[in-house]
Amino acid sequence: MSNSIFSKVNFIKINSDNERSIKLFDEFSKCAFPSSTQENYKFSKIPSIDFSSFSQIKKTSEDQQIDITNKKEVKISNNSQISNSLTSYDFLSNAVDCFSLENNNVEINADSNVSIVIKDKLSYSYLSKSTFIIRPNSNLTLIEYVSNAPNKKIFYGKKTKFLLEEDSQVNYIQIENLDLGSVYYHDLDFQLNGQNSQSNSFQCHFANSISKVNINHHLNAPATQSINKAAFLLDNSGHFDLETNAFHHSIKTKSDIVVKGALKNKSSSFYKGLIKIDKGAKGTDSFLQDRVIHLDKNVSSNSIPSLKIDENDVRASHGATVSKLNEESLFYINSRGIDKTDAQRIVVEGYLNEVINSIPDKTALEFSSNLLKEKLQNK
Amino acid sequence: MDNTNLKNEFSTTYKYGFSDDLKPVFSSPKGLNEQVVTSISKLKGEPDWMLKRRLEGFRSFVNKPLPNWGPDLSKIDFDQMSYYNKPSENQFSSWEEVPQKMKNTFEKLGIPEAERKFLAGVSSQYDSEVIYHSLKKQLEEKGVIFLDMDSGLRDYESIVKKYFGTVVPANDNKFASLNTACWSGGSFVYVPEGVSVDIPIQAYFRINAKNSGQFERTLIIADKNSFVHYVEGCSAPIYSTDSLHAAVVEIIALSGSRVRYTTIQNWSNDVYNLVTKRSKAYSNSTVEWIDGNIGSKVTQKYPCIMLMESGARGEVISVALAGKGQHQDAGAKIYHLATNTSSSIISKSISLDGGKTTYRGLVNVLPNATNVKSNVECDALILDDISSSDTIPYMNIANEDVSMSHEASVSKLDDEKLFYLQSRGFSEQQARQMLVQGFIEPFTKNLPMEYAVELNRLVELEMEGSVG
Repeated sequence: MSNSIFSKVNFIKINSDNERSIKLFDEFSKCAFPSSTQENYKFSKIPSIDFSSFSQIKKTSEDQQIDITNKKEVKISNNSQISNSLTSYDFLSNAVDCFSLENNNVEINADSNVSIVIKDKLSYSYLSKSTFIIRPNSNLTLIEYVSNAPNKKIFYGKKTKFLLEEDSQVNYIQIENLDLGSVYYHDLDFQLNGQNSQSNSFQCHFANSISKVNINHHLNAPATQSINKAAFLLDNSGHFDLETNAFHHSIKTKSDIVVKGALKNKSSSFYKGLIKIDKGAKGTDSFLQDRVIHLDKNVSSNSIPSLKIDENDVRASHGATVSKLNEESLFYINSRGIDKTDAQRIVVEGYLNEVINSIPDKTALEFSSNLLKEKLQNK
Repeated sequence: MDNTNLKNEFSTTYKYGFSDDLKPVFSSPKGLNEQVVTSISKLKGEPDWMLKRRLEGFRSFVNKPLPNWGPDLSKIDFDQMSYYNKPSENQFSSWEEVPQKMKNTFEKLGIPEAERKFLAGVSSQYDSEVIYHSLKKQLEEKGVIFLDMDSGLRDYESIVKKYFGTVVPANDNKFASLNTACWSGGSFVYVPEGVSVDIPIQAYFRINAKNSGQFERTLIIADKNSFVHYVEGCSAPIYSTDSLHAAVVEIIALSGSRVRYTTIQNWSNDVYNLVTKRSKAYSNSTVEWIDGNIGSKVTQKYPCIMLMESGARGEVISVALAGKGQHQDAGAKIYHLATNTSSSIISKSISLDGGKTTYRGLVNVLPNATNVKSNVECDALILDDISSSDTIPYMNIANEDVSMSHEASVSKLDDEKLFYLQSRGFSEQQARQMLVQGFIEPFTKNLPMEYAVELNRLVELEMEGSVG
């Protein structure tokens, strides 16, 4: 640990050198590094990561570009206080808690419409935490583009929390494009606390990095709704580790989770998706689907979609498929005079575009659609 | 007889609730240690290699912790159990010699009629040993061996030695280890090359002595191009303390053969049913597990098929019904170890009166197993608002050339269908029963006729008075 980016020297540089923070670091250094014996990391490539070779944790102004529309409706405050103790058993989650350079609270005023676009092109490892409070009847669109400067191996760790009040809505779009060797970790938490609030979340991972994304949707109030759509295309030895949880705590809540991925080369994916319906959460409608296409011989994928249902007045189902490309579709396109590689590209593009085309922001939609095209060309 | 009468006929908590006060001739002291294991083996006059296996199993049992996932098993008190009971001195060669008291019990279960009409042979397990064994002549003529496991070991040691523990090793899991250490009874079936057994062969198991764990060991070997359908039905009388049933079933389906194994498990609601069922399917063979779980307090059962060679096929069809205080944690495991293999899992579960059902399954495709097809369907029905259901399927696919799909759904009984049936003059109770019977139909249609009738009857009984 001493020479990794999570060293004590780094910790003191980021946080202050008082007794309380040292206590927190001691606690962190006792926290178990991800190991394949832990249930969460059983099928993950994360245990094999050597954090000592990563770029330092730092932030420079040219790395990040933030555009906010309707700025007057947004209040940003910095929460510099570090936490008293660690909250999780998970190493990566704790690492973000301990080493984050920023801890922002962002408040969106009631009855407003705000969009925030963040473009990160990083040459250093970067960890941050933020909480978005979306006041009643307002609408936030948050778009994050993440990539790294050429030849830099970085760790990008982030925790984002959304607190949604009555009739509010959040559209969250995440487009990750980190290179081979970099690690992406994101913990997303949607708390739908107000009636009729809605979250739409989209993840596009067309990368070669090792990524772990955890997404929790807590449907706490009646008639709340969450949509989560993820698309991934992995190449080389890329790895995508996704966990989605939909917790239905209240009545008449709805959730729809779609995960679509394609694996090339030696890449692998792990998906764990849970639908949990509490007793008394009547009228719940929850659906989850997970589709993975294997494009090469050496890929592997693991999938655990689960249902935990304690209420009978519900509709809950999941579907999961793993297969290679449909021979018939390939043959059809082939027979129209398009060669096999192009045919494969067209089918994969069409398949992942189902997710991309539902992105509610035009620029982000075009960007991810072009990125996908570009990634498919590099064969 | 209508359902209410039928229900009164039997006890209120358990439908086949009767237990007669038969004293075992020999009962091992409570608790398990190497001495007990050795004395079980000595008493049975077993060869040394079997004693070694038993001791190996015992050591592994002691060293393994209880599973930390799934239902709570911490209430099982292994020291308060007696691990071997011998009911009476000898086996009986004819029905007449069986003591009247035992006959009465079998009578209540309806075995003899069923036997005479349809069945090839009955080996009824009373306590821990088979006391009555009949085998129809035609089977013997074909060279089919159908014995209880103890006799199988005695008469066909070479075959048993060759296959025993090759599918479920002595150190597989805690309960398989326990079974290896103190197994007793169960069936031994060998079907020679090219022989097709047309009528299902079946065994009724029955535990009777209080606190006696049941550790049947079943071994089925289907030689090349043979076919056999084995049916196992379980029924247990009322106990006041928790009882344990930890059976092991091993099936070896050699190339071109087909084995179908049907179980309807109906233990009383205080039994822990922790069973290891596994099979190996070789080239172009088919293994089918048809598995129904109705009774018991806790069931943990995941019939497993290892598709060893090209062309092998596996199928698991299961039904679980969990009523008050019950947890049915069942599922299936399929390992695709070779190319051109296919599998299918259909799981139907019903929970009511606060019961809980869990589907826990695994489909594993290894890197070199190409052209694999697998389909999994899990449907759960929750009949009231105090019951619950979990679905936890694992899919590990390390290959490109795979077509794998999984679908699961959880719902209540459809109000519209209920309304329709009621508008046609059925009572609410009848309508609900009909819908449930329709829901499990993919399972029942695979059962021998008399089992299908019995299962439907049992489901009706379980649902009695559960309108709400």
